[in-house]
Amino acid sequence: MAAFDGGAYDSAFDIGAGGGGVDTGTASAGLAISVVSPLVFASTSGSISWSPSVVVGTADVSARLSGSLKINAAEDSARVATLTLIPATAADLDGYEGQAVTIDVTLFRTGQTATYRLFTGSVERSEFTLSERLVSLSCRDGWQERPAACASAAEVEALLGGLATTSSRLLPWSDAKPDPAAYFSGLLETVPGATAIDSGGVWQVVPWEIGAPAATFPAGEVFDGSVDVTSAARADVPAAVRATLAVRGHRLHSAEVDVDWTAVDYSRYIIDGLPTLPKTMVLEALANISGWHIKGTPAIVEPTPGSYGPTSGGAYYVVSPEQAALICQSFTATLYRRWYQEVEVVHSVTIDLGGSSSRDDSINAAIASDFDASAWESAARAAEVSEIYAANDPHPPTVTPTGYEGLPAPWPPTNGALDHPGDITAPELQAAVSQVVARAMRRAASGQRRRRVTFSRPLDPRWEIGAVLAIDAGGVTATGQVSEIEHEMDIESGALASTFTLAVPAGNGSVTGYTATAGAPGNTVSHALTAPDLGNWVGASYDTLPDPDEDTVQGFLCNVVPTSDNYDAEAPAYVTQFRVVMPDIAAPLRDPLTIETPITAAVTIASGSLSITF
Amino acid sequence: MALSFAFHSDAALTTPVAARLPFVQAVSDPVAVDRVLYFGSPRAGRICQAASAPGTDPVTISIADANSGAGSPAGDVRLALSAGGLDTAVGGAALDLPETIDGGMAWAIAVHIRVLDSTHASGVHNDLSLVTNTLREAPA
Repeated sequence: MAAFDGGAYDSAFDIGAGGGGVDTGTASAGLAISVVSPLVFASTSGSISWSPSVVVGTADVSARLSGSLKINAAEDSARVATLTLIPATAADLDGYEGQAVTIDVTLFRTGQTATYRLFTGSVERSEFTLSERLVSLSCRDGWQERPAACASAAEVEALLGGLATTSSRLLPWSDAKPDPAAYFSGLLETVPGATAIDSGGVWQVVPWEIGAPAATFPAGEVFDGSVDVTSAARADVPAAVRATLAVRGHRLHSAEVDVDWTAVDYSRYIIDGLPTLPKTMVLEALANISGWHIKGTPAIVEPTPGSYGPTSGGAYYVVSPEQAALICQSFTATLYRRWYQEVEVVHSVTIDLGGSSSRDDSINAAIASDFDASAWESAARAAEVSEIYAANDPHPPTVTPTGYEGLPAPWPPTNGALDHPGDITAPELQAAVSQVVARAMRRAASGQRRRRVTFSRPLDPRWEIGAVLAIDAGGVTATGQVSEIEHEMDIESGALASTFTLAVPAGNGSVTGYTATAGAPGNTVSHALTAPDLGNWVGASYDTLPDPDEDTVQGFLCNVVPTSDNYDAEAPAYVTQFRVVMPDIAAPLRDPLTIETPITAAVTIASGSLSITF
Repeated sequence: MALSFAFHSDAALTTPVAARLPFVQAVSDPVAVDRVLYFGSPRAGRICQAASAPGTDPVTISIADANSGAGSPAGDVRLALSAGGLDTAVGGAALDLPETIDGGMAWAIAVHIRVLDSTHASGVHNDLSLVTNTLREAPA
């Protein structure tokens, strides 16, 4: 035999490209219309017979079944089937895995027939027992594969029937690295319902809604002793579920302070030999205040050229036009500062469940702005503005200059603050808030749905996951939604049964759902910083204060000349400078801030009913 | 080689329909049941066209009745390309698909099927099936 049997190669493996030749043929799909009478399912006196129909691949193996045939289905999981059969040949043993499987059952009652599909899937595993010559097939549907096969976010979202709450911030889809299974799993946590593949192989999304029951089973319709009631575990129903979304952004502040200064009387220049204040010194001083910037251009007043005096000694103070152009006689300016504060806005809501468990059952999520607040704060206006013209600008601004031209946006209100979300848009924030609330809703509803009623009755394939059924048997009266199904048929004994698990939540409505609206934190920040008092501080004088508060020593600092009658060699002498000390920003306006804001939300959980009487 | 274009039970074209698609109808006062199949091929880079006039004639889906006069009549089945289209579809009428259908999950075509029994005859009616016209599958 050849090492490689080319005939065994199936070109179906070749799915990645459009290779291959030209093929012709037809495609078909058969329909099976089963016209049934509900009398088939009545548990009245009489007898019912049944026959299974199992197709593996293209082979009908119904006649080779042995033992029991069991099918289990549950919310958000694959439907599984197990069956045992007698293989026709040893070669069959190699061919089971991966084969398509359908399981049908036909129920017969006098004059009535009903055929139902119970399972559509494929063989997952086969196990051969040599001593008995039996092969056990474990089969499941494609519940796991279906989401994984999706190629886009829209396809995954379509799988959830529009019930999922999406948030591109909290649960993003990546076209570069798509992970549909993870995306599906994340979205499923927000769905007020469940998914399943039904017996016919069709994907279903089942909302958690409990309305009028499609059928009610009295005692005569269920097996004696099969009714069980399971309460939700204490841990399943905490006192409350808290949903929290932390949004990390920035609060952008802006403050302005007006400063002014006026020179001493001209006579001091004569009597004390005080220096005049050069314009350059003022501008340099104002431009180099750490964290502060000049709004617009300072208004510097030059002295009027001319002769001033005489003083009592007959001297004059003379200012030439050339000198005047370099001297600051007085000025006014506005200094501004912009800074940011890291802000975490915590949107939260607490959903009371009324449980007794104090377990912390919280949904926490966070999103962060990518705004570069540091660059925003440190950007200098001067670097942005090209000042070419001193006058008669041929392209004058069309609007009144604000003095903030050239600064990067955003611009907080003057002496106020702006909560800047950066790249987080309002719809994105709302979506994120909705998603955390949706997750909390599902967690709350899932916990409540742990209260369950289970019962068994003769095989009843009419109901799928999500059907609303009621039972009134054995002292238990309940209405709930089918969350699990087990069909079991025993080939040897002929026994057959269906076991249904009803979720019977203690809810507050008929439809599980929620509403959520993100709150907007208030911002009433107002700055009123104290302007520094800029004066004239003369050192080395008999009038010089011996030990002034250094914080108050602001303005023009200079000294009398030694030849002055007011010169005091023992008095403090200043370093000649123009000194400005701007007010500090208070820590509460600078340090990271957390703001709590409530989410306006309402959650409803579909309610079943349950009463037990002895 | 068999066509890769076929009916599937899911939009991702992962599960070809291997067995008859079941519809359950009450013997009296039946209520219409809708289901969806997906026609297409998981093989990207392939196309299918009507063999009669590729690219000109449409791909069609007909309702074939293997046992006319017994079982269910073809008129009990309606086909449409949308759920809403079922309301106005004509029972037993063929459904036209595009002239050229690309392979790949993104190009799966949903075929909506509505069954409403008119026989009121208890039993399983296996005489109806959906059949395409003769198709020509080729590289795109």
